[in-house]
Amino acid sequence: MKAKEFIVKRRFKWSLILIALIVGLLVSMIFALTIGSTPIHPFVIAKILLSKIVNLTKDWPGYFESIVIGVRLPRILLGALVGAALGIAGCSMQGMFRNPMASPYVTGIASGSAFGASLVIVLGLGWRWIAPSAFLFSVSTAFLVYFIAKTRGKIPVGTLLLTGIAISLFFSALVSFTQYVAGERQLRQIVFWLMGGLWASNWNKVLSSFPLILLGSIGISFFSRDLNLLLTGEESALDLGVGVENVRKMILVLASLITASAVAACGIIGFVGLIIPHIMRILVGPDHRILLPSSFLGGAIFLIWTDTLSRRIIAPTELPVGIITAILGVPFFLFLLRKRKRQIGF
Amino acid sequence: MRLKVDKISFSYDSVEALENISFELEQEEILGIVGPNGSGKTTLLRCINRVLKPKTGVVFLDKVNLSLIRQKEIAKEIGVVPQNSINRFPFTVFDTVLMGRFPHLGRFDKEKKEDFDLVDRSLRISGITHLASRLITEISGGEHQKVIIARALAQEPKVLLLDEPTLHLDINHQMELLELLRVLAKKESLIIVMVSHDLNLAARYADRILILKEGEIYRAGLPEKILTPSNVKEVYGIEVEIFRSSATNSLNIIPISTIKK
Repeated sequence: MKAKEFIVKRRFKWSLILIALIVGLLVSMIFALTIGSTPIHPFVIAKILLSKIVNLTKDWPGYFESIVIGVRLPRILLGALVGAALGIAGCSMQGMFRNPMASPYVTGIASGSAFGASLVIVLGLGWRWIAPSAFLFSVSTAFLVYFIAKTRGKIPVGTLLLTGIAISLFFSALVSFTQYVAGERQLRQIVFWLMGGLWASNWNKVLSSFPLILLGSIGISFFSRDLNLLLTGEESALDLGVGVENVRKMILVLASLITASAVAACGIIGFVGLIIPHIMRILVGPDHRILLPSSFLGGAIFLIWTDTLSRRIIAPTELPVGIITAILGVPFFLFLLRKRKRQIGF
Repeated sequence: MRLKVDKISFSYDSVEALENISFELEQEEILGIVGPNGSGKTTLLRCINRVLKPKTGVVFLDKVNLSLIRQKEIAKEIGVVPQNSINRFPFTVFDTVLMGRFPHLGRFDKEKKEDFDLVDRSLRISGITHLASRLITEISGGEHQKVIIARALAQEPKVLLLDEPTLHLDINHQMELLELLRVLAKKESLIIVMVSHDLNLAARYADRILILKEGEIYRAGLPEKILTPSNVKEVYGIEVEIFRSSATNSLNIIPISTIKK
């Protein structure tokens, strides 16, 4: 009897969390669409969006449409995608490594992609090659780290983390070198790219990062039970038949791919992948069946809001979003951490 | 159902840990594995469900050679209560026990009513239904041990392996837990293998005792046959007095002194 009540209650609670986050995401998107140098009423936004699906008489100025559909919407969608990717990738990495310091960048993706991007800038190959090069270099860095750390078919956690750090330092040095030899304008571009931001968003980027991020995230979510068991300890996981090494490999590959596509689209945005999973863990608990989708949605919401702030706070110029994510997110996280220190488990 | 451990040897790199271990168990039987620190008790337990792969030797469950089936399939047959299972992550008791259903669920399956019913049943058998919605980080050590037993039961195993299940428990909880194991062996027709440091509890609750010494079987058999002062002296290096308690009708081993070498 008790157990049945429990299931009903938990199902209700989890549905509530998911509905709240989905509604929160939609509201955030609409809200972010209204904000900019030309404020547009949410009602008009809704009508413009609807007019793309059904026939509506256009009673709004034509340039509203190009602002909403051409400029703001791709930026907001890309923000949501990147935030979601970093959220779920960070969450799965922390769970898999059983390490609260793990982030989507543990496999050296950040510095690998940074080198890929700065190489293109320094060689003057043109903007459109930055994303592909960043993606290529981040994926190869992840695999390099993975294969170096692999010993006798296993990936010892400590070895992998250390290899990631070492390879990161190596590529950071290469990035420094490109910065050193770069011209004034190129240097500025590199620094801008390294800070990460959504200012160069367009529909192309949305469409090219969308499939990998979505498929990768769905893939990761099929490992929820495995991640839960890994969290209770490797021995227990083995006893219960978890293919620990295979799960690790799969999570590493999936999380690295979605992180790489996020980074390729908008540079290195720190903090989200590290802190969002912790915030969600405090709010919804350690169970990956609810924690993974929550981190996905929470990351999306968080990046939409911080990006909106970053483009308005010193308008008409904008700040790199990474600055805002840290300045806003850290105090909030520390507040939650102090309040519910015991609840996280890490 | 019959568990047959056939000539198992295991070594950590170059250090020989187990040598030529063989025994057989029928259902409803409880085997107590005893022996000094480092004699290979835990290693033996972990070789049985092949979390450690024996260098040579085979484990059979009836006719099934466990080395030929996947780890997840083994987990459907063998449940484990490990020595240090304290989990610092705040899962609920219910969800912790539900984790025992893992080997029965495919990657794309969702937990079904059948799984919840089995969790319900396991909680009831372990006597912790009232704890279902509590967090495992907020219950006592004795309760936690029962949660892990319930998790193992949710696996619907034929064999239960326990590594010092009474460690860190007070006398009351020790007895309660071992009574529970005895009931489980009978009612669920389980084969139970239990590693223990406590010779008295092993003598009282195990049907058979296996003494390990330096990775080899020193003696195996009925408690009263093999728990003798001379055997204990030989294996543990202590003088003991052994007598049968009139209250429990089982052997009591009283340590007297260590032997100066």
